[in-house]
Amino acid sequence: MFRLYRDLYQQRQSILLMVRRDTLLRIKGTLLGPLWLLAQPLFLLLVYSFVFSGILKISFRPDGGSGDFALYLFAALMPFSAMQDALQRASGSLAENRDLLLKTQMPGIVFPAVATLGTLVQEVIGLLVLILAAWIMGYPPGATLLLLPLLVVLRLLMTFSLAPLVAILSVFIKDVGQLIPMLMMALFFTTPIIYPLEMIPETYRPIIESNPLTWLVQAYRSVILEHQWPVDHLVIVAVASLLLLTLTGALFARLQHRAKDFL
Amino acid sequence: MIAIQARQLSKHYRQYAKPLDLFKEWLLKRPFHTEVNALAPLDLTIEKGTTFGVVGDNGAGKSTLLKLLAGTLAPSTGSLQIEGRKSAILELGSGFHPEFSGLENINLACSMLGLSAAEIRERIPEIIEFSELGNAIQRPVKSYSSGMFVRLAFSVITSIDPEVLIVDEALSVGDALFQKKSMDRMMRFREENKTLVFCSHNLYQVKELCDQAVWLENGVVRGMGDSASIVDDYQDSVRHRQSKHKENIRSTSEMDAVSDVYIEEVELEGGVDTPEKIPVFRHGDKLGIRVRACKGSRSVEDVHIGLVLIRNDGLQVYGVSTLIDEVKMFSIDQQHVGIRLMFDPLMLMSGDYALEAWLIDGSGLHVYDSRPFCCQFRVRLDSSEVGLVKLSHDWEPVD
Repeated sequence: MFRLYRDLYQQRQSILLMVRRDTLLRIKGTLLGPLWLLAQPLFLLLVYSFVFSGILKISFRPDGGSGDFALYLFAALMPFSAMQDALQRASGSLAENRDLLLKTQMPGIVFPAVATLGTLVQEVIGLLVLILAAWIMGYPPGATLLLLPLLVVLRLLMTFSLAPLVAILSVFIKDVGQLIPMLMMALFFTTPIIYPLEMIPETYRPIIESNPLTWLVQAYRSVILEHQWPVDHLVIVAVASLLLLTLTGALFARLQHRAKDFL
Repeated sequence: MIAIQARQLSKHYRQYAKPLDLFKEWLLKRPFHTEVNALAPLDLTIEKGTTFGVVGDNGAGKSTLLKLLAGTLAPSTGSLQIEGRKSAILELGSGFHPEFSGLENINLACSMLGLSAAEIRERIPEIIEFSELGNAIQRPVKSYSSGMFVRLAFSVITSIDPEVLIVDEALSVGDALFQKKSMDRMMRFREENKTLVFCSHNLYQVKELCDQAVWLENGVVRGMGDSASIVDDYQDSVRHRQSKHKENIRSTSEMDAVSDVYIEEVELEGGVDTPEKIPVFRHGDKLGIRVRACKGSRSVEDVHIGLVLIRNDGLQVYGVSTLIDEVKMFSIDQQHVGIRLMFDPLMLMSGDYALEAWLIDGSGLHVYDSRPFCCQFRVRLDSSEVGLVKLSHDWEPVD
């Protein structure tokens, strides 16, 4: 299993190359070019603001002003959708790169890693848009924002603790690719993204709180909007991710050569 | 110094009818697969600086062996050690990202093989130049022809200066000029004392380029050693199989069974016997064919012998008869005649051969007796010349 991580380190240059290629591919040949990376989150935020604050007139917190719903939603949505996107890409990553996998010395673990990192740029730009919008709407940035890079790293770690699992299982069971969107939707609604954690009835609390993703999105909100230091949240996320990463890594190392016979 | 050392290296696949069987097997601990043996356990030692050839039919396990050596397949059993940086071209147009441009693929392949960004930048102009791709280098490789693919692959793989180079069939495409160029480059590798493992359907290339070779058949090693003799053995076996498909050999049962005119004996003279009971002649040796026949009540003038040299794929090399050459058989006693046909020197090239003997009458129309396939023998020649027979020739100066 340690070989897996050594492979990753040795192939860091290839990984970066593929990540850059994937990111550029999305905007290549479009009129707006790199502006698209900015336009998408901006547009999404405007729509949310209009719907939740303009039409539904709900606020996220009892004492919150109008417009905070969109901000709270957005802060949780950025890490979540990045993760969702990465896992979706990871599920097809081994099959898509069949040629490289079977006919070169490229180690398989590279591809879920590329899928994971491929969502980074979009997330970072989304977060910058959010910080800026929050400032305009009366949530000025605080010192807690310094924690945000660490949060992004943890988000990547958490994603990568699942991506190889999804990637390798998809090879053996084609159904996994179909299952991912369903599972992600279930996860979307069982994580406090479109509702605050406090709103959940006591009976369901343990379920929601046992989901490490809950603590991750809460941490994002804390540092961007609430000026809090969610250290305990981060510890939960880190420990859960590392545990999962160990399991996933062991499974991937065991199955990767068998997977080649199936591709 | 040993460059490649493999011990009991093998590969078998488990084939599952459906993916679910894999999990059934896992859960129930009962086999739900069929085993496919791609390569039986094999020991291999390749010294540094050796050019090593792999020959065999399609599906014999050549590609499996090369993939194992390249490290893209994990062996089912055994161990493998390779000294130094290795690079490989496996199968046609493989190992590229179809959506990436040629240039991006160069970058990717080089960084995969462990080159730093600076080293890559330094080598890119040379790679592009060698590949002769020109502006096409900016196009995605999915739009490339197979020739372009191979040019790119070969340029990349050889320009990173590997210690061990593994090339699978790649040189069978591409135009003649590029083939020559890549051949030259491989020759240079040899001169630089690098290790080359090479598989090609072009047996001449294998014989010419390789020092040693292995012959695989159905995943099993049929022979390993000096490349010239391995290639010869393999070619003999191919021709032999081809001849089995031909049913044009006339059986003796059609002949008059109770005839008193028949071939008694056809025997080869000269040559060295081998354990397989097939005598081996060196090119240039004397080859004698001694024939004895019973002529019964016929006169000596009315009994002639025709002999045809055939290669084991059925090709007639040369046939002649005492009738054509207007030679009489020699009387041995009242009943028997005999004669010897001499080939001195024997101009045949390497291969497996046999004789056809026909006992005919003075008109050449009636066949008394025949031996359709007898006296198998083998010819060996330590030379890179190709073909069936050596033709006398001269090289002359030109203006």
